[in-house]
Amino acid sequence: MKRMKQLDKIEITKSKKREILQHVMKPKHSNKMKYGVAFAMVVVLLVTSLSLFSKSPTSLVVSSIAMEVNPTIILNLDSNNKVIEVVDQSGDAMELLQEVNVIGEDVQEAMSQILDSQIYQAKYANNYLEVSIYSKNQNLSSSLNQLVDVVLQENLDGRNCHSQQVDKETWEGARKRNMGVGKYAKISNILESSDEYTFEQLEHCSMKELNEIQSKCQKGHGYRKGCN
Amino acid sequence: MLSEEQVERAIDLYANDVRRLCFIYCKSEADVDDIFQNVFIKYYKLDEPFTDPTYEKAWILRVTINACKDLFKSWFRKNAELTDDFSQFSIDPKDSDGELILEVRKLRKEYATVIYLYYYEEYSLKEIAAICNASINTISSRLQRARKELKKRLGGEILNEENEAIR
Repeated sequence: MKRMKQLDKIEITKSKKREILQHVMKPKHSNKMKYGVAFAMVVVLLVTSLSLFSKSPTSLVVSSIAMEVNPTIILNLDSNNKVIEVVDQSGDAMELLQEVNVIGEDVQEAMSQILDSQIYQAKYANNYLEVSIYSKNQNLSSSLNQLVDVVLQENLDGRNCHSQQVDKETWEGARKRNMGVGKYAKISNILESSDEYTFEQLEHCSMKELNEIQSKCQKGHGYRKGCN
Repeated sequence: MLSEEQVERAIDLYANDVRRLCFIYCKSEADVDDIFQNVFIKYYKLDEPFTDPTYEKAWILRVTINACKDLFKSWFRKNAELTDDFSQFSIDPKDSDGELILEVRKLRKEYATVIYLYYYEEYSLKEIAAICNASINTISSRLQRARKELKKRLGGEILNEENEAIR
């Protein structure tokens, strides 16, 4: 059954149609000027394409999103928030990434497709999802965080998941140690608030254990030893 | 390029469709004027007229969607809080159909487009996939998520989740 029938009320008047036609058919600029503009545009395009092709795809990355649900998937985004690269950081998301191809999709669509995929639903739907957002541009990072929150709300009702923006130090520190960004950020927080632990003691802890250690540190309880 | 008569015929036939899609997508009358020009100038520049009106309308809708997307790519559109000046269309929110339209306009643009094309234009998933230049799976999951979102907002079964395979 046809829905949204009230849209039938939206109609264009004859005078408006004439106006559109006039705009479309209005006299064009002289050929000389047209060719001049076209030439200038070709030059600009050539210069731009040359500079783009001389860079690797990763140099076009302006922001990144890490979806950590054990495995960890990193979505590298361009300036339009489109996915230009997907990294299977932990090396065990291959199966999932074969099911969905999110290259070229905008970030919300890409995340939704991953969360909707059969593999994700079958294997990881009950895991805690930590999403970390990183961009050198703070405004972009904040707006991405809002988009991510919308996706998490729409797909997971905001449950069993968390999103956060991280700074360059945290992002790069995690990558150097080949560790999930969320986990690295959590360990860094614990180390900042307590001098009882070393990185090595905490790196083998699960996120659940780290959450417990963090909450105990915040309450000022002593909670010695790391995890095996 | 096509002739003035051909463009006039296309405006006569499809201007209402363009405007309805713009109503779903845009907030401002000025935006609609830009989109009209953009769409029909592209039509004017076609080498050959369409022979099949079905393809012609699908082409017009695809170009309209792309023009709307281009408009929203600009920094200003992304960041500005624009007021909605389409109030003159007087959609009746008390009517369930009107309420649905107003909620569809608040959805993410990808979802709103799919709902519009599926329920108002009555295209199949395959046709919508071709218009939106996306896979059928993508369109199907957008439709499901859009329905879920509308159900949450409107509190009830507003859209029939009929068997999509029949279309």
